[in-house]
Amino acid sequence: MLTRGWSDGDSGKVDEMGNNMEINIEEIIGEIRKEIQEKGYKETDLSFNDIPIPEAPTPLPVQAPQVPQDNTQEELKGVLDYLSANYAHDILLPFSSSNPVAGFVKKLVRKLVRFLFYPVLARQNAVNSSMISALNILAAGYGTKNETEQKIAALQEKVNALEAELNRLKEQKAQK
Amino acid sequence: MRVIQLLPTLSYGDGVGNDVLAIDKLLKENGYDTMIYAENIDSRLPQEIVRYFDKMPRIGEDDIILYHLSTGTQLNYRLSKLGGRKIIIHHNNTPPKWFVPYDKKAESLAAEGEKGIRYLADTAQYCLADSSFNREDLIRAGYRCRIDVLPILIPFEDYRKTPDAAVLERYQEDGFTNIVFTGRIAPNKKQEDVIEAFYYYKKYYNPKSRLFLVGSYGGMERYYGRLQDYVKRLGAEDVYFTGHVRFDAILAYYRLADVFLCMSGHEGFCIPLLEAMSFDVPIVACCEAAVTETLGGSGIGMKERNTLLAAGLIDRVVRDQGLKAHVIQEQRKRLADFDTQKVSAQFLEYLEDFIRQNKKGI
Repeated sequence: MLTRGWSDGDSGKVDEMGNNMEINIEEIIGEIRKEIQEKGYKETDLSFNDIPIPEAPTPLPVQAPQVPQDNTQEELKGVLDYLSANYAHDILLPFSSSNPVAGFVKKLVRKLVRFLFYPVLARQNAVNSSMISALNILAAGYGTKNETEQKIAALQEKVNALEAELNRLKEQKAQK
Repeated sequence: MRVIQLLPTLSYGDGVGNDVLAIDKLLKENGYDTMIYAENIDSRLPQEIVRYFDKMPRIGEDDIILYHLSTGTQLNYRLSKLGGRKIIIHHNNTPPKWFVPYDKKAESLAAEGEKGIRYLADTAQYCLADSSFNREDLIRAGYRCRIDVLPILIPFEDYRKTPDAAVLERYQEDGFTNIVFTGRIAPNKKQEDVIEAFYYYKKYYNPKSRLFLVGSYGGMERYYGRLQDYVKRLGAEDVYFTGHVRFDAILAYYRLADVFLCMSGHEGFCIPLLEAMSFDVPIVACCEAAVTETLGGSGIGMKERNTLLAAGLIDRVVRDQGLKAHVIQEQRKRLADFDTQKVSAQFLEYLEDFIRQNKKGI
């Protein structure tokens, strides 16, 4: 078989893992290992394998979480999480039919109407995707709202203090 | 002679979609009669460049089909029945084992993808693989035709667009060190190891640091839920899952990044590595699958999957300005290998070679 390869890079000599030997990664790694040992850095006892796999999300349609009245950031994040996970719809949703004939008919109908719904779904998914992106950006902006309000409050306090100081100095000057 | 690009889904802005559009532009610029056909088309793409597969005209003997292979689809089985000469561009199919505990649909789609790759072994007259890793994949699947390696065409000029101001304003220049990984939330990308390495970095080296995991978790909700639970039980603070974000927001996260950390277990190419390179973000990566090849000697590659060591390497590249400058310099050199013009010229050369050697009906 004839094959031609693409460049593996010409950034100098490389070791078997592709690291540039001029940097001498092995030496750096050796130093880091030594430091880890000396300082007693330990790996956590908790392994990712110990984390249970959550149940599958409820299949659509489901009641989407409502936008909370108090608009707290945490709850807004919950709504966005739901939307981000469910914005794309698939025509190939599994059928839940115990009757094999009914299952076959449903699959047949799905195949027959596929040409009609697939483009519509693709367009709707693209719109949903853009909306989720926009909402995520707005949410990022909402996150900064509280910080901005705090900054304004702190500046207002400074202004008040400076005004008080100015008034005090004015009074002192007037008395003189 | 027409050159038809065919693929199951043409999405807007993903790696394969960008490759298809770049090839389309390149072919048109070079006088080829070309068109893209797909079963599913993102509505943001203009109709004059892509049409639905069922509208595809009869393929003549001298026509060429460039088939983009990346997933399980009925098209894999229909391709052999279409006329013309067939070139397969292999973008890799994630092995189903990665999805087993999380999503039956993703698992069966990946298994279908594997079957499709094997099924097409005798259909392809010539193959292009994004990486040597993908080429090996094809050889293992029984491909006996010529297979060349050609990286995916990446529109690097898009990375110079304006990043999202809101994201930048929120996080930039606040004294935090930002660790970033971009890519959809998926088990093969092993975001749990990214989280663990960041947890050690924050605990042992730099408490004023944060991690951004940038990417959609649609379809991988169970894995995402498990990751969130892991973050909680570890007590790792300042871990941000951005979810699906717009392209300009992705640009902003690259701008914010001090280190790009990749712990992926399976990648057929790994475009985010090149993205990080183009933003001059030093890379620390676990060298598995195609990651080693894409790095090509740049970045800092680890031979072993060791999250504690990854944390130490992050610390070193953040603190040691000399090392950081050197890593970035090497990354720039490597990035030059993926220059659009260079890859485009190579693609045309390979295509012309194929046309010369497989003349039909002319």
